[in-house]
Amino acid sequence: MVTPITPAVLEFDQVTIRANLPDDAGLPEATLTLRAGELVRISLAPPRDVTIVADLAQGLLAPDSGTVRFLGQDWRHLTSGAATWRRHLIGRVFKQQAWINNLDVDENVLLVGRHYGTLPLAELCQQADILARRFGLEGLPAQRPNRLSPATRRLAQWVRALLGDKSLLILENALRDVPLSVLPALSAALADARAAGSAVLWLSDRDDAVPSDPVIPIITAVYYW
Amino acid sequence: MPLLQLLAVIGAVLVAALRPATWRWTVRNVLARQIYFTGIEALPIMLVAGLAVGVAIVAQAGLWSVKVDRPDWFGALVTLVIIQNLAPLLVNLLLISRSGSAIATELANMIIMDDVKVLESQGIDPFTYLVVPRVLGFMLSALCLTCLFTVMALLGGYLCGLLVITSEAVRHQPFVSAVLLSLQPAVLLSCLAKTLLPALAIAAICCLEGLRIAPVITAVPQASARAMVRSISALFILSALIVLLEQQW
Repeated sequence: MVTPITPAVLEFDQVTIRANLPDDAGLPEATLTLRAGELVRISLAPPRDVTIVADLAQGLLAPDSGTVRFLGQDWRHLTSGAATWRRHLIGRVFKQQAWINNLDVDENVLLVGRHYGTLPLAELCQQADILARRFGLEGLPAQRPNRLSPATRRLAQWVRALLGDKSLLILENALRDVPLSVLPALSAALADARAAGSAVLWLSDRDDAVPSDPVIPIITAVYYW
Repeated sequence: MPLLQLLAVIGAVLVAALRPATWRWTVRNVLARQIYFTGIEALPIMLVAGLAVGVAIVAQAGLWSVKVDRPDWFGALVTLVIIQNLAPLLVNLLLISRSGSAIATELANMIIMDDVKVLESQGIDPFTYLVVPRVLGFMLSALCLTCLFTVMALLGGYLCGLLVITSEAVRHQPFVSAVLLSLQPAVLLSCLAKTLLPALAIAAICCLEGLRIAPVITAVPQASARAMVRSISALFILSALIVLLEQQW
């Protein structure tokens, strides 16, 4: 029996970022195809930065050459409004603690859902609360991001990334600061997201320890860039 | 090119404000916060300033209308000075120092902290989320505060007239009717223009200066200072231009 090929969510076609500084490695001719339900892990050798790949995948950074397509569309061919709309279909756990600092963490987590109004507020809050508790938090923290521990902020980033129906999840060094006890819950949440059709791009620096089986049970492919 | 950039921002804000799709819950929430911060929190200082200005202007108007032997000018003088000129100018000036610098600093810090990139990466247009509600919130606040400032100034003037002015000629002018008779539509239009146009320019300048900084922490106070200086310049230039236009009509 032939497994049906799911649609490509993210495609890198000969994507090159030129190195501009002596300590900048750039990105030479990277190619990959990530389909719905797949998980691809990319391990980047220093000094390459996971953020560059994540920004390319989100169309926030234009490649010097090559093409990045999301859901079949080249980011460069989209209008600003269309590109903005598409980005809300992407959940991202940032390498840095990336928050809107004048909002509380719960407001941050719910921001995209409330902006696009894809779910009623009660349902959105309930989903967020379920995810937060699944990851060992006592609900969503109603405090400013800088008042929370790095572990809590990281887990809240996971909640934010997984909330709603995302076509693509981008995880940058996503296990940094995360307590080991939460790994099975994160893994299960990822498996659920993939089963629902999300593609997962797991980016890690070469020195960032990413547990393999059984924590991340099925990795579709591993690339070393 | 800063003037062209400013005009582009103002145009884009006005176009975005007319699109229903702009007014998602999150943008309305930022608008409400901006009105709270710029309008409601500034109420005490505006009311006190209005009262004090009213007392000073009415006392002077009473004094000078008697000195030039035209007590009938009293109402027109009060209207011309307070409603048509001082209220819009002082309200916008106070808002620059209170909210304009805060907007520039807040947005500059958002650039430094990468908050703007976080918005972009989540599919929220930073211009729609950050700039549009701030500019419109600032304008609405300026308009409401100018109205309240004017009411307080006239109230202060009325009380001053009762307590301080000793000239029988002026005292016998019914204050309220003298002022109301001078309130022609042109006066109100002038007050509206002198309030809203500078407020639009000030808020756009503060947003622009805040968002276009280099991402280094030392750029934040520079952006704030630049925003204040340019806003004050814009306020005086626009007010003067409107006065000149009034003369042509």
